[in-house]
Amino acid sequence: MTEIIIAILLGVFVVATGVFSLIRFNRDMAHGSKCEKKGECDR
Amino acid sequence: MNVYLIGMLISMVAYVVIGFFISRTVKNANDFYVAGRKAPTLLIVGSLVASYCSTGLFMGDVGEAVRGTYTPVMITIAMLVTGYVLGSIFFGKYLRRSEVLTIPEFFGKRFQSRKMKVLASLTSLVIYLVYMLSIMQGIGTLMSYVTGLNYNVCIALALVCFTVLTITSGSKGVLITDTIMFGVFTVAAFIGAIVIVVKAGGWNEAVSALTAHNPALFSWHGTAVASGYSSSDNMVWAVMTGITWIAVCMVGPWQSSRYLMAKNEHTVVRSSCIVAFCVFIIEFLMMTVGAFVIKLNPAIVNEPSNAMIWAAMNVMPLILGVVMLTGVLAAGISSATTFLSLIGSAFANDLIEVKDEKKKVRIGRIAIAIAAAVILLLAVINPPNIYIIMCLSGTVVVCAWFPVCIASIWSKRVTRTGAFCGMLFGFIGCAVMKILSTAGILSLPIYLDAFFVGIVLNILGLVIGSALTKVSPEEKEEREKLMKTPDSEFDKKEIKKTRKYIYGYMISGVAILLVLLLLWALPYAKTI
Repeated sequence: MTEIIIAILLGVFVVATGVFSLIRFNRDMAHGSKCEKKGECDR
Repeated sequence: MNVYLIGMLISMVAYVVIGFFISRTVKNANDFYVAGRKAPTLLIVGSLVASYCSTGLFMGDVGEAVRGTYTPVMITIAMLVTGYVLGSIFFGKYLRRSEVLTIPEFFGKRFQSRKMKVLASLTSLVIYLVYMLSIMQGIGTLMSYVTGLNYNVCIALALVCFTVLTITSGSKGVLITDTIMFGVFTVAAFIGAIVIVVKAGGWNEAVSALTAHNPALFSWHGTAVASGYSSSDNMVWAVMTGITWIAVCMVGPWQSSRYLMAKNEHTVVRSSCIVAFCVFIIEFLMMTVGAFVIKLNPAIVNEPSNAMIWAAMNVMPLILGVVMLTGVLAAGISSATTFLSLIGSAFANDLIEVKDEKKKVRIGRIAIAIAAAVILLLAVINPPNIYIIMCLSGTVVVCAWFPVCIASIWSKRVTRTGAFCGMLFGFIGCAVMKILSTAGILSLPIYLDAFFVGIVLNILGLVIGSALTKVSPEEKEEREKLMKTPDSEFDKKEIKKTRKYIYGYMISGVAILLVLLLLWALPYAKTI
């Protein structure tokens, strides 16, 4: 049973880091395009 | 002449010849040190995986599985692969944006400090030397075991091959040959694994038989419990090592330096998504199939590191065995070329600041030749106390670099003094703790690895050093430049494509879950 829980947790961990990375990537791209237009790209 | 030796010699000559042809396209320092900054996703993937996979994977990690720490190491692997994607998003693409030749140069530019550049270069050089020695050990052991040749002759042959390759073609050649070698050892690993699984009676049958023979082998705690560790100790070790290696894959210089060669920032993110899955699958396959070798040869537990080598020589058809062993050798050589090229750039670009392009390439080549000679000498003499230095693994350089790398991008307050203190304290703290524990002078609890001591000291240095000094206008300007995304990165098609790769990475997380569940946890639970 412990082995099954470990397998699920590891898979969920990888997916979670993917979600986290996607959010960051989207924010970078959105922020970049907005601040580029305004000329104030400091965060 | 031994057929395995013939195969290995042919492959080494082939790499040198390829390197020679690539050398004709090396025109300037950019070509030599960062492959002209034009590398597509495939080459970055090839080089990243090849730098990660050395003889340490095919002999060391497989040995751990055979020895009985299968699950703890597997947990570490599944955790560390996430470091690639996190690293590309939070550090790699900014590193690429800085358009420097080396990571120490990035620190020097970001903090407008030559001291930072030199410190980063020196800390990385120590680790490159240690890694090169351990790769030489792996290659020497593999070649002498397989061919029967003298150990010193084996390491000299391999060293001549990868030194000539690196000197002639630089990073451009390293990228291309790394990718070829990545292809060779991946194909060899997959076909070899199929043969071993068939000979072991099928996947589920092998898991069941081995579990019946030794119930602890695939269990969550492993057989290491028999050596005096508790089950929870093993879990704590696995998670701690996993966290440590996430940091290694995020900012480790032999990994993140590949991003400097990428053609754009999208390539950085895309390659990291592919690498994460490739590394997991190769590791999972080799470790599990390596454990299956016990079913074919129970005596292999007495020499666990040689499990795959034994299988290649005794289980696989001759030609496939030659390809498999050539693949393992390729894994070792590809890592060695990466480290050797990094040593060259550390000298010519960071320690000696050469302005002239041609001179910079020439000094890099001389530095590579000298470093190779020193490494050969150390590997042959093998001084009795060298084990003290050998304990300084990649975690030491990450202790010195990790918080500084992240702060250099994401903190407005970090100053050059803070960064310098953080890097110095992190390196010394981790190195001293490692040396003391290896020498048996200090015994650390399992949850207090030297890595965490180094990281805490690094953060303390960063915070205190930055609190006592002010960010200069030049440092502020450099950070602002890093935060400004180049116009070329805002191509909507490219953004959409990169987003698809990140979705792909998330799907690979589900695939990892299914692989672990269907090929390990469920067959094991069914038998137990």
